[in-house]
Amino acid sequence: MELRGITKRFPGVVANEDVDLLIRPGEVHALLGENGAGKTTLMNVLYGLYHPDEGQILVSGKPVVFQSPSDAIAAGIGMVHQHFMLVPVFTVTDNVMLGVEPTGFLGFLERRKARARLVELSQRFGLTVNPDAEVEDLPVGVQQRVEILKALYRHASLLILDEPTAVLTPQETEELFGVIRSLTDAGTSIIFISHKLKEVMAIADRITVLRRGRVVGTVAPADTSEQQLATMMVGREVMLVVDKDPAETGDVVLSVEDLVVRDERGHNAVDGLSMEVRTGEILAVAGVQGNGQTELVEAVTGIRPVVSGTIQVEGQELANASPRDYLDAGVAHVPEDRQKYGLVLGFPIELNMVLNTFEKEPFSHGIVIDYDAIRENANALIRQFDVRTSSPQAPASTLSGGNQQKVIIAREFSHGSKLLVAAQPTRGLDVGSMEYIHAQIVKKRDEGAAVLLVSTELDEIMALGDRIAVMYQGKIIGVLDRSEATREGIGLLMAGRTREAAEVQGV
Amino acid sequence: MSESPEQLQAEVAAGNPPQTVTEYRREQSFPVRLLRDLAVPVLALFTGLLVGAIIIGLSAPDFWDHLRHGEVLQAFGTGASLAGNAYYWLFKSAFGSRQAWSETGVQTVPLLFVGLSAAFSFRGGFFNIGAQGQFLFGAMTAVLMANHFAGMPGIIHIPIVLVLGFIGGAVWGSIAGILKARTGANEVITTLMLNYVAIYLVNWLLITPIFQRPGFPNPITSEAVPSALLPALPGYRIHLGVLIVLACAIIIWWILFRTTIGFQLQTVGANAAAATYAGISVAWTYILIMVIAGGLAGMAGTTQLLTTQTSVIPDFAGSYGFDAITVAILGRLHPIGVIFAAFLLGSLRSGAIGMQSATSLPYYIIIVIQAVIIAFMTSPHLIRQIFRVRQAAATGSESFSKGWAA
Ligand SMILES: Nc1ncnc2c1ncn2[C@@H]1O[C@H](COP(=O)(O)OP(=O)(O)OP(=O)(O)O)[C@@H](O)[C@H]1O
Ligand SMILES: [Mg+2]
Repeated sequence: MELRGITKRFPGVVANEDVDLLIRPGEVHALLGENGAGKTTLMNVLYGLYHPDEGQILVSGKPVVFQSPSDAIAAGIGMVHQHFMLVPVFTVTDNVMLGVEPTGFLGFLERRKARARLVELSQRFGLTVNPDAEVEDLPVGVQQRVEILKALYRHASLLILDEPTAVLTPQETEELFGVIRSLTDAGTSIIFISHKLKEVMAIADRITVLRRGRVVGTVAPADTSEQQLATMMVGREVMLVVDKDPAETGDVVLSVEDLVVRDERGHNAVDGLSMEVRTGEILAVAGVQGNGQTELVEAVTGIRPVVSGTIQVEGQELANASPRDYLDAGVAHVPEDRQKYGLVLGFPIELNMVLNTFEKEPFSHGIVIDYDAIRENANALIRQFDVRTSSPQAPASTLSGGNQQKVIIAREFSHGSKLLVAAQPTRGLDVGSMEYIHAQIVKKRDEGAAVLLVSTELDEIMALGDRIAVMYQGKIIGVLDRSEATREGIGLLMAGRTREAAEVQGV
Repeated sequence: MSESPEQLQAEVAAGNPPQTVTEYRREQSFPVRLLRDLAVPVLALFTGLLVGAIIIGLSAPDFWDHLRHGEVLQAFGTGASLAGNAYYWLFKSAFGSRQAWSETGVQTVPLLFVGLSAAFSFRGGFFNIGAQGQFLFGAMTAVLMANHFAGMPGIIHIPIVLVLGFIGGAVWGSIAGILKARTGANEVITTLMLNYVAIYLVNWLLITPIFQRPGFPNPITSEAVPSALLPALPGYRIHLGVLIVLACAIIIWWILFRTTIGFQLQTVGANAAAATYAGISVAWTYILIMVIAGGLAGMAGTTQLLTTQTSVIPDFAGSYGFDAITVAILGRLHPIGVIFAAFLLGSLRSGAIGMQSATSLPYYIIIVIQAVIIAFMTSPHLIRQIFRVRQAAATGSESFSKGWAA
């Protein structure tokens, strides 16, 4: 499989320029690059979703033209998009066979046959999944396996994984790596896109770095380092560690007591949780995904109802208040699910940048909206946060994943806030942007804001937290000062092993 | 057609990966945009007229006789000449004289009111198909109030009745808004059911002493008193309602695209979860939508009452409830588009009345034309495929209820 001289232009942006890429059989080829560097676009070209403006695709040395993904699939290419394309109410088997259903006598479905093949594939590559489960009941990690199985079921010999680990727990990532290894052993090639340099170093055979649509170079992990990769991507030295002074804490801003919040299924996802965040400090909440962090964040921003307990912002009782009340109390919120809550994808970027401030001066006077002020604001924020787009009027849906996140960050950092609640703020961001956003969070803190940071990335927790709280099964089972926290200690607490953790931490 | 992510997802999941992904194109110049926006409606109209012509042609009595005798050419000749004749009268009766223009205007006014009502609610993601009930309640309030305040000078009387007619429709409309806001009840079901409630409630009210015309055995109200009636151009039926409805269209345009209310409404329509996140009260927005949409439909009933149909009878609302949807979709949920759509359907109607008396072809042929138009408007893919129109850029302006097409 080979890409030769691929160029793909969008109005005002050259997403890919003269890109050459050679994929060898059985290799893991990692693609690295900043947000908006053109990784997803290149893969969409390879998958037949876009037609390149120039260049050609070669399969086993012969040039081919993919009119649509069906052609790409027929040529043995499979792609797992970052946002899964599964039918939630169908079973795993139904999802996998959809579109290529085996039929027998009189066109009746032969579900049994499909199921057998699915079971065989999943055993061969260690993709454990219950073929009869309904997709909506499965955790993301397992849904991803279904996506991979879908591609394998269609005889993919080249599998494209676009940021597969962004939504996975470290445990799930390890399992995915196991699957990738067994696939490559069987001769399948993998294109692996990730912003996490550690992962890329661990799994890739070769790494191609893109910058602003062009190939910067292809290297092997053995011949490079994380620092060097970061420099290749961004084109300058990147600080991989956060530089910050000790916190100067002041009064309590957010105080939560005995909070109980239910999830969709009616379980107490947050179960008697208490905590405090003060001005000038970053409280980093660590924990394995699914221990109630999402519900906690939604409760302290007014999105999710509270069953019992109190939430106070600067002494004002806000449990069960509306999101508007929280906004008015000076709470900014970077939501975990950016496409569901953070953005209206069909709206222009400039409107997304005032999504929760459009009613205020200077963006409106009385009830009349001032589009000039909105445009000015957008232009300033786009420049300041380096959002890669051709126009502030482009719909948010045309932005790359990382740039969508930057739009939210830009908005939430620009309205005056006493408390910043940031859930997974750098998920899907490149190292350069991550460095920038980390610096911004620290700046917010130094300006006297209280910051509640929720992250499943231990690195991020360790880099930013002044105090580190570990959440386990709806409770905070330990709060450590950054100075006394160790990775192992936090790791043990995240697994709920308080006793061993106490020994390691010596507290 | 800007496919929504869900739609894309469904198509991909169903094994029909999309042929292309919509790409954002830079704002095109005004004429280009206009052409692009008009392509589908104009082609839908054209197809509607074509299908209508074929049906008229087939209905020509000589057509089958000729065909039976193997005279294919003559058969098509008579068919085509009948259709041509019909459309000649249709056009002439809609635009052929000042009287014709006046009639077209009269037909357009209520269509424009209800079309604005539907477009406004669809933009907010509220699939209100209850214009019929709101229309009736506007008219019922108006007739009651017109006669209650009998004796006032028109210059005060008319505005009072118009405002109260708006409120009548708004109150009825807000029931569905409140139901959705409080309980999440599906508005398609509630507005549809409330239409039936309205129809039977009005049927009953019409035989109660409050409404029934004294001395009459059948369900009919008294006539609205003359001082409440909208002034008409001397010698014509065209009336002040034309100016009122155009003003309403401009106000609705302004609300949608220039005010925080419009921003709020379109955010709720495009992504209710994000609206909640942004501190917008989705529940209040639904209620507000239905107050305004209901009020507009109520104004439609009121202006009808104060002009051409001066008393309310059971069938008063005619087919305006469903015409509302046709006009809104044909006008692509944009107030300016809705003006053209209402004018188009209005001229079809005034034309059809003339056509019926001149050619004795049934008036209902225009219902067929209207149905074909709506079928094509709601499936732009079909029209594009037939006429090979290029995909519009992903500005979202074309999606059915979602999008920001300022
Ligand atoms: N449909 C589109 N229309 C217009 N521009 C687009 C479209 N899709 C992508 N772009 C632009 O092309 C560039 C490359 O985007 P792409 O999604 O390929 O980036 P990426 O490398 O995948 O970034 P990320 O790591 O943030 O996902 C960006 O500037 C983006 O705004
Ligand atoms: Mg991407």
